[in-house]
Amino acid sequence: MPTEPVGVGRVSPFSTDCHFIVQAEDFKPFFDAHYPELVRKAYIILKDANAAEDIVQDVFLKVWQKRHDLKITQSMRSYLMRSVINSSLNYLDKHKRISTPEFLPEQSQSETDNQVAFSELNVKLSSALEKLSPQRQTIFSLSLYEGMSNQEIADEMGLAKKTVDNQLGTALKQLREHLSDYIQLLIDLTMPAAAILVFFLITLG
Amino acid sequence: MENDRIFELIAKELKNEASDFEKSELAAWRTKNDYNQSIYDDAAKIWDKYGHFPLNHNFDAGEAWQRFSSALANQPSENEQPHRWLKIAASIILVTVAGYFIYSFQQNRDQVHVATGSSKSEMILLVDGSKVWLNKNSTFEYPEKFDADTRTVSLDGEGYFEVAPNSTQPFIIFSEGGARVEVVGTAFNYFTSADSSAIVVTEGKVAFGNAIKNQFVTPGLTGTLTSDLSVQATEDPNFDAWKTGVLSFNETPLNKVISTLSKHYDSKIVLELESESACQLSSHYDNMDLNDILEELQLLYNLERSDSPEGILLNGTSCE
Repeated sequence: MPTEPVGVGRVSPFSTDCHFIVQAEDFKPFFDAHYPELVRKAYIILKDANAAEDIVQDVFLKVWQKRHDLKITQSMRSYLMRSVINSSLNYLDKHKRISTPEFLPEQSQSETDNQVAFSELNVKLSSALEKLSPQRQTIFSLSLYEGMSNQEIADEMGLAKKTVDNQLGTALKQLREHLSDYIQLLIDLTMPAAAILVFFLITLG
Repeated sequence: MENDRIFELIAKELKNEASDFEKSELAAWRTKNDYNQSIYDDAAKIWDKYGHFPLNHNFDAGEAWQRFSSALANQPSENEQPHRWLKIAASIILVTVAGYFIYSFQQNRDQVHVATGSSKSEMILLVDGSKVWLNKNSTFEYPEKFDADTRTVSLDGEGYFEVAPNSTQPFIIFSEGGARVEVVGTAFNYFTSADSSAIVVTEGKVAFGNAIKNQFVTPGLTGTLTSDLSVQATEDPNFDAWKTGVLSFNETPLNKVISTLSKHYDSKIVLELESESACQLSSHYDNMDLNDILEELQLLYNLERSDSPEGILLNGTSCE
């Protein structure tokens, strides 16, 4: 049975009750409070800024459309976070085979051989990561780029901590397998690049 | 051994999350031989390399709001009304009607959202011929048109599904808790919430689980997913009673019968017996009124009934 919402007017953007939202302007504090964190999360998972923004816009639009009958049992933040993470996982599922060029560092116009090799290595690294299941990619990226603990990741993704522990280990194991031919490059590249640069500077100077 | 456990420990160590015990376990493994040490070194290098990807991007929240509010401009606007409920009712109608038209014109955003209240269940016919019976207090989302490769829907709550067979276009049910069901054509009852999901299969074969693991569930079996996934023989014969209206009991302990009735008829019933003897019931009720069922129980077990605003109390001595 629908009940008359209590408390008219502005309610905290962290409220779990969306009934107060009548006009678009009422929605702004709520949007502002959550947008930066959500888009950052989506970006860390997808490594694609445009896709991240699209996903977060869609999640907000859904909340807007459902604001009259949305019943949220957890906090609004964790509801939004789960929606964004799930949408991102689904996106990864659908776009598994599409490469993500933004993941690569920008190249200067004159590249030395070493830089070329370095960018090849980056292509390898990102394609190895893309070979992992969306969930493992996500756990790995949230660990590395958001500095989140396994417990925090478990809470946000709605998984058991033990699952996150295990999936992160498996991610690392699979990355090592996918990169087995390149491990040597991982060790050698940055050091020689610097050494060669120094060598050139010395000989030229 | 390059087993999963070791990689789990390495990852924890790299994240500074390993306990003292785990640290010493890992240290013992590393010092065992050079090969182990090299595995650890590889993993640490991989971790370090990925850590150096430049993942900085400045998102402009102001610009995002502009974009969002212009998207909202396409949504129905709401006028000031003297009565708040009128305003809400009008906006719901506006959103629904406008939403319908927007959806019909936008091919990729044609999601239909169905939410049942606390009093009524609902039957939904999907475009592919599949049928979904939605229990009370449940929400279901489906596209008006399915994608070419999958039939994707989402559920929160309980539903009975009769999925039209189509082996080239799997039917996938997502839920907010991360559970996932994938079938090509079967019938099953499915309950899902943020922290647990259960599926009872009546026909065909269903892949049930989440993004990490899944198992096949076949007729007569129940799959349960909480933090773990398990598949067992279906114990509750009344799993789809909410849809069929039929309750059957076979040597069922009386307190179990009462809790099933409470849930099914959505009313509080309390059973108080003087001695905890093993009262059992074998019976079959087809769309019967709760009062008639209780009357039968009163006769069978010599129970006394008293009603109060809190619920129905059944008093008795024992079954002997």
